[in-house]
Amino acid sequence: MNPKYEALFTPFKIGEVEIPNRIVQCSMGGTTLFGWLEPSHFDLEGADFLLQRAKDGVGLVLPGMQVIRDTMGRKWLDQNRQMYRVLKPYMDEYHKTGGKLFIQLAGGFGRSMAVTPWMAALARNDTLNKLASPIVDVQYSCASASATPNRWADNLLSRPFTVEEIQEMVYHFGATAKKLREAGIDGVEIHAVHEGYNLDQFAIANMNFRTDQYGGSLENRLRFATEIVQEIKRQAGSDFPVSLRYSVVSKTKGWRKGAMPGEEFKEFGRDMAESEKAIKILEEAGYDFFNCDNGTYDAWYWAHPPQYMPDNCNLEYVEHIKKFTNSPVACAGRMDPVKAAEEIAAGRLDAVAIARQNLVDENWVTKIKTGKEDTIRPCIRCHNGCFNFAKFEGTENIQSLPDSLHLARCALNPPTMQHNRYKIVPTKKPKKVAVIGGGIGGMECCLVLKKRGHHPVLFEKTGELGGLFLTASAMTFKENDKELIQWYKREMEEAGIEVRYNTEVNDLGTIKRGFDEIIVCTGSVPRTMPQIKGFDKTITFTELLKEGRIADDKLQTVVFLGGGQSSCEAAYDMVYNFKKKPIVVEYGNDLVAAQATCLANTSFLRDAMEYHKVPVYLHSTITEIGDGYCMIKTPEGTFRQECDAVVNGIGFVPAPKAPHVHRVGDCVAIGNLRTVIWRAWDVCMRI
Amino acid sequence: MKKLKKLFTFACLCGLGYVCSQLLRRDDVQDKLFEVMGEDRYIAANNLVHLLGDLLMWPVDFVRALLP
Repeated sequence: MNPKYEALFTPFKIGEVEIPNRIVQCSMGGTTLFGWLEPSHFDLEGADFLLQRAKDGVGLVLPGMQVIRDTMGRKWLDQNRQMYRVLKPYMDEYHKTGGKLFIQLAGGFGRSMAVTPWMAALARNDTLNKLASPIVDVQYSCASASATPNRWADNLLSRPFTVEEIQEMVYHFGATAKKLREAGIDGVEIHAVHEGYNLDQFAIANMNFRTDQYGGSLENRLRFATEIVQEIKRQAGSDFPVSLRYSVVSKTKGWRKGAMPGEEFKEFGRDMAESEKAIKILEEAGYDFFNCDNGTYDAWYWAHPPQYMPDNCNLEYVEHIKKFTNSPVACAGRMDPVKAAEEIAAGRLDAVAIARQNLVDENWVTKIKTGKEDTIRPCIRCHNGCFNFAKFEGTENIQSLPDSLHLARCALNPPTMQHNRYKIVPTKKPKKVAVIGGGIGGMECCLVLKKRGHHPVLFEKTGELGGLFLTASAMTFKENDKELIQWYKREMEEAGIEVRYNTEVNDLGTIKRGFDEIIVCTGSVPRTMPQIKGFDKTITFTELLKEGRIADDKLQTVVFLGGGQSSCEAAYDMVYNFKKKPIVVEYGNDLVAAQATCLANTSFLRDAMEYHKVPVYLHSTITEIGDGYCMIKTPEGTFRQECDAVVNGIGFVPAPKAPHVHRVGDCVAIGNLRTVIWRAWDVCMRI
Repeated sequence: MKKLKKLFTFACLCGLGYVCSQLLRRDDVQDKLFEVMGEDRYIAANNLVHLLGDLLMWPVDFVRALLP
């Protein structure tokens, strides 16, 4: 092992429990032991995933958040006796790995409940909600400290919890912890003063207008969280360790408004001065460990940092708060293991909390231990498979139902949390397979086919592997994307896959005779709109990003036709890293109005456009493009905009379809890395 | 007699469903379906089957949780 990682592999204590090393797997929605939103049960897929993580060497595993009362069926977690009976032998097996496991318990979502359109309809109608309440009580699921606006749905206020409901919940936290301890669980973590969830809504003054013992002073606002730990210690034993998921500061400017890194603003949520006092109160109440980051659902990109956020984005805040407690502290949020090890060795941090990397590469800890860190498949923080709650102006949570039921799947690694569906089964009839197109889809096909025992040959028309992803990864902040391409290239080389560079296949007939199967992965081409006068003067993303025109001094003012993710990312790169003047023209009512992209990613881009004062014209289009100008048509009228270039950001269309062959990637339908990689598996598992 | 007949039909359907679900889990059966249906229809059907399976588990989990 490289000595720079050594500090990660030293033990530490939470209460009386020794954790074998400093690596904590953070809770991720979906990696639960007892199911996600469905009625609680012992979840075999989640259990298998968590056990594998312990076998890989994660010191402390925190399964996905478990709401103390089922959203569906409304049973308290401690009432499912059958579930705890199965848990006991599982924990015996788990402890053979030497790892420890704490269950994260939560008091619900409150105003952060990611309501879908049908849930919002139920919540807004008292009669419908009452009728549905034996199965799902959305008003209860959205209940909060006070009547506050829902993060996801317009015109939906949370109803305040009654004191009796709060005390009932407190009791069940204790009862559940007791059952968990009896079943062999090592501790619990309370998802309390964190990320703007229900218990955090009690803690934040601007979200809590109560006048009873749970509102007003800081002590009162933290009363819910302190009563929970006291009840757990009363029922489960004072030596049963209780961790607290804690957001040091909220980084929130107001309802649905987050603060950018480096931005000066007035804190709407918890500021550092209050946080310094809060952590002392919470420690005195009995919490043994603080698992920290920043943010709320209104500033979601701090708690779930997309690739636009800097590495270790929460570290300075967490290290500051550690000075105000004697209990161990962990930091989460794009943590770099090398930096974490340095900070732990220096005593500024006790543990590093890492989440999504565990989904992408199931052996990343082992690879670090054995000095093979170069072979770790990097997480690109896309959230496309694991966490794609999506929303734009005027919508509720528009995540698809299959995705709502299965969080924590991985865009880059299909077997994660679906290992029975996506698996490598050696073939009985090895075939010679021609794969046409050396993008991510083509490379993934080759790797899967090779693992199954086939003989793939890759045809790439250029001299480089990566395809359109070379353009997508060209932006300054996309270091992880660039690492992913390198990872693919290395895997291809190590697998010994034959690649025929600079070979364009125009006629499939020419290669049909030499191969048993053909897979076409030729991607997509930019969509065109010839009805716009001068459209042929637009430049493509490839010209702008991959061919480096973004750095060209002649390009200062650039208009993006279309406000999708690619346009917003490129505009952000232009304004933030190149100090240029992008302008975005979008036909729809919001930027990045897409179903599959996580709100943490899209809200960052929207907030960034506002913070960097990028002119954004919604409900608008370009009617004419000329030399040095374009005509922008907005609802207020049409005006001439001087500019150095117009970028075609209206999207892509599949490259020409080929009949009677297998197809993978954007040449089937325009998607993202998840659709490309999962389809590669869907096809290559059956060849 | 009518009730018995209905019960028998229900049992047969359940049995048939069970046999089908076991068959569908087999790789060779899935390979054949992939070949016959074509990849687009196979993938769409596969997604639908998984979703239905998930939804069917809700009442099962709900009842299981009530067991002593």
